[in-house]
Amino acid sequence: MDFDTQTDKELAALAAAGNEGAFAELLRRYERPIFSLVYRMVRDRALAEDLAQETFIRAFNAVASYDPRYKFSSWIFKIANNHTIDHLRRRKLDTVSIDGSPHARTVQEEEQTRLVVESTDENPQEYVEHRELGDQIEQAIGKLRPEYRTAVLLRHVEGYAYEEISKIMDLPLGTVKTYLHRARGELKESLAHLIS
Amino acid sequence: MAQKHPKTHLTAERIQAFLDDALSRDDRAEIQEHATSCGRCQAELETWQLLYSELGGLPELSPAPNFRERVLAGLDTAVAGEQRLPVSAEQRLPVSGEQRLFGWLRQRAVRAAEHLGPERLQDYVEGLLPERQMARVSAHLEACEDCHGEEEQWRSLIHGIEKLPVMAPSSAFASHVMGQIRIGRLMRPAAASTARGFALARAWAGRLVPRTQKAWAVISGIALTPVTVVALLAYAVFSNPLVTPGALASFLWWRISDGANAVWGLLADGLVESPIAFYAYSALDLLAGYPGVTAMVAVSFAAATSLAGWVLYRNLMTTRTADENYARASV
Repeated sequence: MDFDTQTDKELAALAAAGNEGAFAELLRRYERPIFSLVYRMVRDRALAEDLAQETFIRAFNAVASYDPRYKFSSWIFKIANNHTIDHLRRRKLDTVSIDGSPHARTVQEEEQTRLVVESTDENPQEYVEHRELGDQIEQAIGKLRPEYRTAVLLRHVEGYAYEEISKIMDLPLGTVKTYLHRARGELKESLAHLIS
Repeated sequence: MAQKHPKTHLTAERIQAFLDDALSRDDRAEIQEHATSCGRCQAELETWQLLYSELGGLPELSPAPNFRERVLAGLDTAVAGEQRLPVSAEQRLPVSGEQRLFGWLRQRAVRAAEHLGPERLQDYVEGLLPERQMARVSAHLEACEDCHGEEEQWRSLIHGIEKLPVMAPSSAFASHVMGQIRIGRLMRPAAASTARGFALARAWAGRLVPRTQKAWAVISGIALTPVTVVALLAYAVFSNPLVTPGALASFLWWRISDGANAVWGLLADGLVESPIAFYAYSALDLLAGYPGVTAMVAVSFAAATSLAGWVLYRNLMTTRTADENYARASV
């Protein structure tokens, strides 16, 4: 069966019927977006992998309860967000460090948990410039409240509409708008030296 | 003090305070949230926004030609003799309540239109404002360098966030996930394809679920038809004077007891005449003569049953996990 051409909802239905290939295709489609979101929330590579894995395991083991009236992407992002926010609340990790895990005890551990990005099509100089700018933006995002962080990442990194973000975060639309306005305001203040 | 009744409609004063940026963050969020869910207040808010924009764009008005002379003359007189400025009935400017309101609104509108607020600018950059407001903000940005600079900063910030790279987990990520999910019981190809067909049919049927009140009303109407027909039939039957609830109950009891007696008779005959019952009785009679052997047989039978149950549980009831072959293939 050609899974590439199937929609998320069809794949979810197949997965609910026990089709292993459908699970694998859903995982291929969402592993990077989910990992990116979780990583930017916790800024610890090993922890992000654990949380993203647990997100997929929870979602896939409960795929029979997925309601196809809603978008699959919103459903799985909601699980990822709730799981990560729960973790942050338990650990009280409201802000995160750009330089690797806040739990790293040695330089080596810190290095291992540092941000690793995929290769891009930019030339080396552009890459370095964007990397520096990106690092500062990542750092500023890491200082936001977790809820603001999720809203900004879903809106500007994942490109979700306000209505979808409201469903993912289980918040009224007006609150999402307010979160985004405030989050961007705080980012603008933190990054004033870069964007002015 | 800010009004704290999100269920009631927004008052004109509250909307103006909102447009004047004179509310706290929480109050602003509350208004935005209310306007999102209340069509009437949303329309009211947009009307006020439009009014503010219109008033902000009004040309400067010149006073009457002798206005300055009259003010200066009045000032001189007042300073010299601490007297009120004598103004004739013709010279007195008629100031109605409507004009005062208009002047007050204009003053506020001009102040509000001086610079665009951060939220409005962000919504503009994101293209979220209604078409007319987009045009007005564009016009303002062309004329106002400060706001244009602010707009550039917002664009730069949003562009910077959007350029953040997508990150990939480690290569073993997929295999770790696949190794821990419950795929469900093993299915033969035919059963799997049937289940797949059912699953697809279920997903397709999900699209048929009504999503509007009107659709639900139509479905309910259709579903009500058989109920109505059955009710009418029941009415037709019971409206006959010969059919009473007591007579009906007696008839049903007679039919049920007659059927049960027939079934019991068949079972009893089969059991008594069956050779199995005879052999079972003979075996029990024989075992009663050898109690030690009987106990050993019983214990062995219980142990064998427990073992068989455990094997069945291990093979059929526990969940299957994706094997390492998948992990190697997917990396």
